[in-house]
Amino acid sequence: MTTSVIAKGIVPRISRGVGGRSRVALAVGGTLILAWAVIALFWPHLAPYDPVHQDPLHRFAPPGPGHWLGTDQFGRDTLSRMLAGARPVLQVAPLATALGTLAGTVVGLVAGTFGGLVDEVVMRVLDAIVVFPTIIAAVLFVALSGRSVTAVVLVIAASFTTIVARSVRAATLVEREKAYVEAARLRGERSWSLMLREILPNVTTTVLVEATSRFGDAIFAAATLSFLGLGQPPGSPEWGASVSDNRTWLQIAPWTVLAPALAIASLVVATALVADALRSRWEAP
Amino acid sequence: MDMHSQNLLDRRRFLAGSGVAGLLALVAACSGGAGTSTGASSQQSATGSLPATSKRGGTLRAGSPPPPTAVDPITMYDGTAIAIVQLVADYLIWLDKDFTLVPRLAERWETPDGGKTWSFALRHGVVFSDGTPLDAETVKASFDRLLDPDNKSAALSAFDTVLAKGGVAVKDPSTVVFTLERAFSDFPYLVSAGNYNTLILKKDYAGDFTKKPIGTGPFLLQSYDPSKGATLVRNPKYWEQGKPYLDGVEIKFYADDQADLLALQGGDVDTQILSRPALVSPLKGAGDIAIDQVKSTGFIALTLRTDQAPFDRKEVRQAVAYALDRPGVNATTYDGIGALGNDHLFAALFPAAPTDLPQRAKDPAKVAALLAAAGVSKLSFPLTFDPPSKDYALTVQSQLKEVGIEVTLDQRTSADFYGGDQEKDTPWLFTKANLVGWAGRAVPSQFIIPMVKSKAVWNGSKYANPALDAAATAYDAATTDADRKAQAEIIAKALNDDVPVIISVWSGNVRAYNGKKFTGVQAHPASYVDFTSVSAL
Repeated sequence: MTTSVIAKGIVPRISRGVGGRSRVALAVGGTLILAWAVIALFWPHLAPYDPVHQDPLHRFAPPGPGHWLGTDQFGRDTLSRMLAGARPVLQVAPLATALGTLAGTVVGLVAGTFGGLVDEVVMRVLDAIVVFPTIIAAVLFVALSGRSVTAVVLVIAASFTTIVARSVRAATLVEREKAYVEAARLRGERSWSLMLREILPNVTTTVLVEATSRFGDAIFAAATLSFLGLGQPPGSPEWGASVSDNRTWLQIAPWTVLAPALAIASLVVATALVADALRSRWEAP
Repeated sequence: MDMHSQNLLDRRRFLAGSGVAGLLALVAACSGGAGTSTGASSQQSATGSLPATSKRGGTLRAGSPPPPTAVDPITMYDGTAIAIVQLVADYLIWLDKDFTLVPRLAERWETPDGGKTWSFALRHGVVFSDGTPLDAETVKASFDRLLDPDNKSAALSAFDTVLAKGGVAVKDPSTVVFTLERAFSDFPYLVSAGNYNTLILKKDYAGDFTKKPIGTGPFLLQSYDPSKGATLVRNPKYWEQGKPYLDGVEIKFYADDQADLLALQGGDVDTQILSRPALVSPLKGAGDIAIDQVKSTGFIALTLRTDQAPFDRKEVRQAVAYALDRPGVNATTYDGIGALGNDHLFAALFPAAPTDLPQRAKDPAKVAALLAAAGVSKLSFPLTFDPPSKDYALTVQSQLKEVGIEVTLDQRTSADFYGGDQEKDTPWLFTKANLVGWAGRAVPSQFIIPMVKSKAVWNGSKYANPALDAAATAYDAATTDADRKAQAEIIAKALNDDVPVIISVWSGNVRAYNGKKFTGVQAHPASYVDFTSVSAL
C-alpha cells in the first residue's frame, strides 16, 4: 500500500514560524476583512437609511449629523450605500477566487503531471486565453449573458484559471521530477494516482498562495467591472459603480467618491496584508 | 428613435420628424390668422457688432458623443451630427432658444389662403461656400429630396399628411411656393430648424456631406474623423456680415456624458454640444464652468402597455401616476429646471395647453385605493429603458418603492432598446413598461399623432380612443384659438384620465461652457448650436 510522502514528513515546507511584523499584518488585515464580512452580512441592520431611498431635498448634503458621509445626487445616504456595497463585492470575490483556483489547479496539475501532448495543448490554449484582455472578454461575456453576479464571477474566475494553472503546472513540473514521485511511479502507481495522492498535496502551498493573492485581485476586478458598468443592474450600491457614477461630482461632493473608493482600498489592502502574512508563514524555510 | 431625451435632443437619437417649438411665432400665427407674415418683424440685425468685452478670433472646442451613423443632413437624427451640419449649412428659418422663428435663408413668408399655400421669399445675396448662388430651384431641390421616400429622411414623418412630393414649386428665382395637402397654420415650423433635416443643400448633393461639405452656414468643415471629431473654420462667404466672430470650431468626441463633462472641467474643451441637466447644473459656478438654461417641450415618457396586464386596468396606471413625486423627479432628473407634467401632451409652453386640469400630485392613499379597486394586492413590473433615462428610472424605482410598488430595472443599450422590428418586437414599443426620451416638438400634434392616436406608428402604450382620435384631427384643422383650446381640452382630459403614458416633468435644457474664456454660448431647447454670436473674452 502506498504511503503519502506528506505523512512521512518528507516535505516539511510549511513553517510554523512567523515574524512579528507578519503577525501584525495578519491581525490588521484579518480584522478589516472580518469587519467587512460582518458588514456584508448585516448591513440592513447597520445602515441608517435604505441605500436606494432618494431624498431630493437633501441632494449633495455634506457629511454631518443625519448623514455622516453626506448624500449623493439623488439625496441617497453615502454611508448606507457604502455599507450595502460590501455585500456584492464579498459575494463575487470569494466565489470567483474559489472557482478560478479550483479550475486552475486541475488544469495545471493535469498539464504538469501528464506532460507531452496534453501539456502542449493545454498550455497553448492557456497562452491564447492569456493574450485576450480580461476586460474585453468581460464586456463580450456580459453583453451576451446579461449583467448578473454569475456573469461577473465567471469572467473573473476564467481570468484567474489561466494564472493559477501556470503556477500550479510549474510547481507540478518541479515535484514530478522528485524522488518520492519516482519512487511512487516505480511502485506502480498510475498517473492519476500520482497526481492526486503524491503531487497535489505537495503543491498545496502554491495553490494557497495563489488563492490568497487572487482574492485581492478578485475584489479589485469586481470593483473595476462595476466601475465600467458591467456589474449589477443600475441603482446597486456597488462600490465601483458608485465611484463611476459620482466621479463627475468630485469637485462639489468629493465624499460621494471618496467613501466607496476608500472602502475598495481598505478591503484590497487588507487582503494583501493577509496574503503576504500567510505567504511568509507558508513559505518560510 | 430618440436620443438624449433629457436634453430634448437625445444623445443617441432624436425622435424622427421632430420639430422643436417656436411658440411666440405660433402665437402670432394663431392670433393673426391665415395670411400673417411672421418673418420680417423678427429679422435679426446683420451688423455683426461684437460685444465690447469680446474679441474676434479664437477657436471654440466643444465636446460631444460620436455620431452613431453617417453625418448626412438628410438622414441624421443624432445631436452631434445635427450640430456639425448646422454649423455648415442653414435653414430657411431658424428656431431660436426662446421659441421664436428667426428668418435665415428666407426673409419672409406668407399664406394667402388660410394655410393651404405658403410662399417664402429668399434672402438676396446668399452664396454657398463654393460660390454658387442660392436660388429657389435649390430650395425646391432640397425639399424634393426630403420628400422622396427613397431617401428615408427623418423629416418625412413631420410632413406626413401635410406636404407631399410635388408640393414644392418655384414662383421666381427668389420665391418658393409650398402647396399643402391640407391647411396647416403651423407650416413654417415644419420648414424651420424645428424639423432639423430641412437644411438647404446644393442641387447636386449626393449624400456625401463630410466629403463635400458645401453649405451657406457660418463655418466650413475642414476635416472629419468619425472616431475623433471635426474641425471647422470660419466661412468668409457667410451671408451675415461680420459673423461669426470665431475663427473656428473644433468638435471632440467623447464616449459618454461623464468623460465629456470631465473634459470640460479639465479644460480640454470649452463647451458641450449636448449637456445633461442633472449632470451639469450642479456644477454651475464651480471653477470656470458657466451654464445657460432654457425651458423646453421634451420629456421622458413612462409608457404603459394598456393591452397587457397589469396595465390593462386604468386604475393600475393611475396608481403609478399618483405614486410619483413630480417635483422630486424634476430635481433628480433635471436639477429642478424642468416644469411639472400632468400626464398629457400639452406643455405649459404650448398656447393651447388646458389650464383648468388639476395638477396630479403624489397621493399614497389614492394609490392604495386604486390598486385595491383593480384587485391588485402587490404590484410589481419590469421597467425597460436605455442609458440616457437611467437617472429617471432610478427615481421612479425609488419613489414607487415608497408606496409598495416594486420595479425591476431592465437597462438595455440604446441600440438594443431602439433596435428590432417596429412592427412586432422593438423594446421601446413592445415592453410592458418603458421609458422613452421624446425630443421637444414645435406643436403638440407632433406628439399626439405618432404617440397616442389609435394604431399610431410610435404608440408604445397600444392606447386606442376614438374620441381622442377625432379630437386630434379636429385640433389640427382648427383655425382659431378657441377651437384649438376646446379640442386640446378633450385630448388632455382623455390622456390625464386614461394614463397611457405618464409625463411627470417637461424637461429643461442646458449648455455648459467655460465662462472665463467665451461669451455668447447659449442653451437651446433642442440642443441646437448657433455659434455665430460666440466670442472669446
